[in-house]
Amino acid sequence: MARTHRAKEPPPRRPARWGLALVLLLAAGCTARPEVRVGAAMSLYDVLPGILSEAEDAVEVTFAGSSTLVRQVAAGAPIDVLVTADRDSLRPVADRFEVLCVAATNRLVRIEPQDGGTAGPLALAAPHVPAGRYARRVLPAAALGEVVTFDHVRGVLAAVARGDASAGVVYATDADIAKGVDIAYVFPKDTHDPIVYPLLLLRGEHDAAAARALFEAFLTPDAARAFRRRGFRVVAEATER
Amino acid sequence: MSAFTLSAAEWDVLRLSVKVALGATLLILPLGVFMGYLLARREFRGRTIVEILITLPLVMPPVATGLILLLLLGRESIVGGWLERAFGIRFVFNTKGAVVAAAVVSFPLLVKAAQLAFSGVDPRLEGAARTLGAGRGRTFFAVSLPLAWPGVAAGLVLAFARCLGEFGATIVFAGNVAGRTRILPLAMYNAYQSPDGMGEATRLLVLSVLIASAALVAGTWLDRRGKKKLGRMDAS
Repeated sequence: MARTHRAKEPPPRRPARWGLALVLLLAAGCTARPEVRVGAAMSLYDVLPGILSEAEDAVEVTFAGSSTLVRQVAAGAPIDVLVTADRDSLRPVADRFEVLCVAATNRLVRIEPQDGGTAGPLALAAPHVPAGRYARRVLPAAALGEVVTFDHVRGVLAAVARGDASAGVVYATDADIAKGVDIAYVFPKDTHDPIVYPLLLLRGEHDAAAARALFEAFLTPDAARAFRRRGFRVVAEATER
Repeated sequence: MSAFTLSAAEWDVLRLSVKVALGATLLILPLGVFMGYLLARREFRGRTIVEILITLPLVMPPVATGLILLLLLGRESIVGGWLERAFGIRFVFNTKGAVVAAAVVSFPLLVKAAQLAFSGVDPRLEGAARTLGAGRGRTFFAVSLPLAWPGVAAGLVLAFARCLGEFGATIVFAGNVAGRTRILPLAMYNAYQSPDGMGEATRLLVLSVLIASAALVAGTWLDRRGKKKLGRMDAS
């Protein structure tokens, strides 16, 4: 009897120990959290490792279609430095950045599967994604036919490389690194607005010094080399605010 | 456009969604009912494996189901490649693909419901039919299926509703093609992603609530009708 009675009593001290363990765990989690966060357009997927190689541990990178990133930032996502693939998609965050600087430029190409054309549809990024907007400007609406859309330009690339789509429109830099696709046509520069990658230092509750250091890492000669190695053209025109 | 008027493109989405869901439900009807009956009535070798294979799409992430379909039926797969060369059938980025994706994810719902319904049928009634000279087929269609119908019908309604909610397997396997594979959830997702698409997303949202409610009402009605019929059979 006495034993069962004792067993029913809550064991003293243990909850306190668990609580301490939890606090320690949370504290450890906090110190391990990245200091700065980058949101980058999907087409920069292969460039960023070259730029961030030194600071990589302290930086968390999110890749997505530019419109997705902008929507996330507008909704309060903790991103410090944002690189998108056009200026148009920046409208929702127009009042949220401290500095804007065009980091690089790109070209638009039409790609086809390497093993020859198929009967599939044309693959494009969705109209709300920069790559999709550029593509719809260079292609007359009548020539579009059946279109399969993707949330970002790398989805287009994958569909054409698999041969499921008969052709697609992507950036030259995407086509260069992809296996299984051929560049069928390079759209002349005057057929579309210049494809620029604005780099934004966002206002927020971040570690301002670390964020600015990261922002400036994109503008170093090393970064320029990383961009060029992947086929981008580098320009630098800053707009301080 | 007023807030409650559907555009032509939204009507197309609605038509396509109902077409895909109906097509998939009809496609799984014969095999689903048969498998439900088989699992309720027969012991056979490999039964567990069959049950697991049927249930998998219910518990797997739909995106994984889509990926499996892509590997099995994509243009570069053995089966998919053969189907295209021999019959010109393509699934990827095609309405057929959307129907197949919806059929695979909703199949377990129908089988489970049918299995439960057939388990509830008194085997002595089937035995009586057999002793009165009815063959297996006639016993099934004249005794087992009518008695199990309310449960089977409920399974069909569930499967239809699941088809209308399909997203993951469809976007991976069939893609996002306007007029071909862009069913309600995909269209809603597209609209929500567009900077000015909240109005369209909301209209599509209202649509899917209406369709889901209609499917549930139809299910309840079928169920009641079936039970009434069973009641009459008990009385006579």
